[in-house]
Amino acid sequence: MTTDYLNQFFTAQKNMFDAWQNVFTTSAGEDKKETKSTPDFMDFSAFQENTMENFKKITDFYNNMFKNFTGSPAEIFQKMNQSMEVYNNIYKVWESLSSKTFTPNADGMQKIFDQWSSQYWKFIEDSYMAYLPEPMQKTYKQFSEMTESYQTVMKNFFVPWTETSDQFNDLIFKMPQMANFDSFITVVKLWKENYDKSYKKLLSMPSMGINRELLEKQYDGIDKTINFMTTYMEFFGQVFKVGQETMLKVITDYTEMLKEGKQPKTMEEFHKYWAKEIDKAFDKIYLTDDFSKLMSTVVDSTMELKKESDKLMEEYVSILPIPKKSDMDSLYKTVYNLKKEIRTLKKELEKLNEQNKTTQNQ
Amino acid sequence: MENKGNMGQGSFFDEIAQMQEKMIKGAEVLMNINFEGSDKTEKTLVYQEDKMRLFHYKATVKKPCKIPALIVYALVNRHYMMDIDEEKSFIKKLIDSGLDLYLIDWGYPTAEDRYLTLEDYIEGYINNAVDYIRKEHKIEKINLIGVCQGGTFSAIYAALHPDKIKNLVTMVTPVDFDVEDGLLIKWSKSMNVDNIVDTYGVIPGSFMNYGFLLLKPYGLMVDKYIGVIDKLDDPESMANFLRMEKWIFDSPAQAGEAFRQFIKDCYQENKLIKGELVIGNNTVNLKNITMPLLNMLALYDHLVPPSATRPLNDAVGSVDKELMEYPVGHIGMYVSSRAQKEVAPKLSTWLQERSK
Repeated sequence: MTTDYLNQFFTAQKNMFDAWQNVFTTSAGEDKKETKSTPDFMDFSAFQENTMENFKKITDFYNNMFKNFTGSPAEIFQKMNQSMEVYNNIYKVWESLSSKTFTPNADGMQKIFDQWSSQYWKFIEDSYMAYLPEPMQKTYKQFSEMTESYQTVMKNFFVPWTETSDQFNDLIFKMPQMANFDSFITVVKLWKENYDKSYKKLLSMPSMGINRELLEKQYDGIDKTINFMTTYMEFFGQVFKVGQETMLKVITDYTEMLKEGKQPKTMEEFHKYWAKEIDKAFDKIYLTDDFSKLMSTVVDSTMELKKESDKLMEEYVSILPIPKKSDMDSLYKTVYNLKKEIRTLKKELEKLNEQNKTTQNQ
Repeated sequence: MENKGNMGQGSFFDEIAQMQEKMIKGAEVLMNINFEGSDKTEKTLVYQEDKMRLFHYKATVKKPCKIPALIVYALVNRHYMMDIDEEKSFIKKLIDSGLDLYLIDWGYPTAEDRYLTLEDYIEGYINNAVDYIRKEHKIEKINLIGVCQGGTFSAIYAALHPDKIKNLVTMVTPVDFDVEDGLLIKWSKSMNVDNIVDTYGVIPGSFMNYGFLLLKPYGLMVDKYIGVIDKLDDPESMANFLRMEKWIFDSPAQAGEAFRQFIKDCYQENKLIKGELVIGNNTVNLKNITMPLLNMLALYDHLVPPSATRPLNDAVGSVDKELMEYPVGHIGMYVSSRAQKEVAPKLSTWLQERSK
């Protein structure tokens, strides 16, 4: 069974390569010393010289070319048409790329890629598979379907990134030139949103196997680290933005004051003026609800990160003969409860002693 | 730094050169500086329970106030701010004026203290300290002086045990947390305190410090240290600066459960002023505060805004109540010249007049 399958496969491959080889074989015409890059039947002068011989060559070429195609001439013609479609499809890609309306961004490229890939798989299925032996055609089809699924998954995975790539490019372009913290903050937020829609889902996938729990903790740790970093970046972006805007305001104000001769006269005065302005600016942003929420998110993400890293640390040291923090906390709770009980009992005892004393005195 | 007139390049470089010179001299000053002097007023350890210690500062006058006073300091930072150095010691000023003082030192909570609750602090440690003093002096009631968070604790205690308190003094004390002008209050409202307590157990002092620094990032992290260059060649000024610097960053950790309840019930839900705060099995009703009340606040307080302090006078049931407002900051209430000249004398006189 396996031998038959392999034989069929090699025969089919050989036939296909033979057919293609013949297309590029040089003519055995009068001037045999001359090497030609085109087949003789395409050389019009040679064709005129020996019409019949060349006609035979054409027939041989087509015979070789299509000997793997079975069925009626209509079917063969249909397959030729399909091949033309493939070529046409590639041409469309080139045409789209070289078109003046093409925008060299992720969206434009995605459209062209989508167009091409749908046609490409059609070509594979309709034409190339015809050269394969039947058992392999089945395997190939399965692989083809699997690849399609993979493509869909990957496409969904990268959708958030490709969809926002224009925005990213635009914002990132603005950042170094303008030291634009607004752009920086937006990039960080956008990056985080995309991360949540893609990589975060990967990290949140249930793990399997003997190390399942540890793996999940590690992935969770990575996720918490990323969350912590993006929140901190946003926070510091906001803080730097205040500094940047204040400096801009101070410079503008200083220029105005200079016109009236009311500007700070010494470095110390200037520094005091600037410090006062920056304090005012911080107070202004600090009292907003948005900043309070951001502060809370920063603290929260720090706590989440610490909690995860503590859990991991406990996991790593669990084989060592030392008590873990969670063990100690349990012990502290027991001690706390016992102490409280002792205090209550002590007070009750003191009261009883006093009552006894009073009774004895009576 | 002197005002050099025009801000030309010359004057700018003159200032930089002066700063350099001061820094070089300052290095020598710092190498030989002695900035001890905090927490030096004579005191005796009279009672101890877990990490809490009760100290007694005896009045230095012949006829001291008959009713001793207990100072309840905040859990945040250390009490020796009130005894920062001999010249500016608020405590010394009080005992020199005739007050017989006791002070609770909360110590430095460690991991084992994570389960301590507000009830443990108020009904446990404070109550035991009050009982100790009552027993020692054979009196029914004592005077209570609460500072900042310690003032909130004192108000709660006085409301729960009015029978044990003769006079109540609250200083820079937050009681109404539904205000818009306090950053700490504002930030605390959005804070996920459960997550913080569950993560740390005992909240590290450094965590608290970062929070305080963020309130005035430039002023506290940069400007302060630029300003000090001017004092670098003056050993006395530098010693004062370093004592304060040491105190600012000497922040004890916070027992988790107490921190959780304080932030949730007071900062986030404002239960105290609403009469909904529960300590142990008892609901705190500020109207139970019927003893004389002196409420002292700092007008430039960036930690406890005056708006969070003022409502106490209307919330209590006292007839004899007074509100004093001073143009100082939160710490200025204890370490400024006004503290020596106005705040401490007022407090002492007010208490002594009501302790006969």
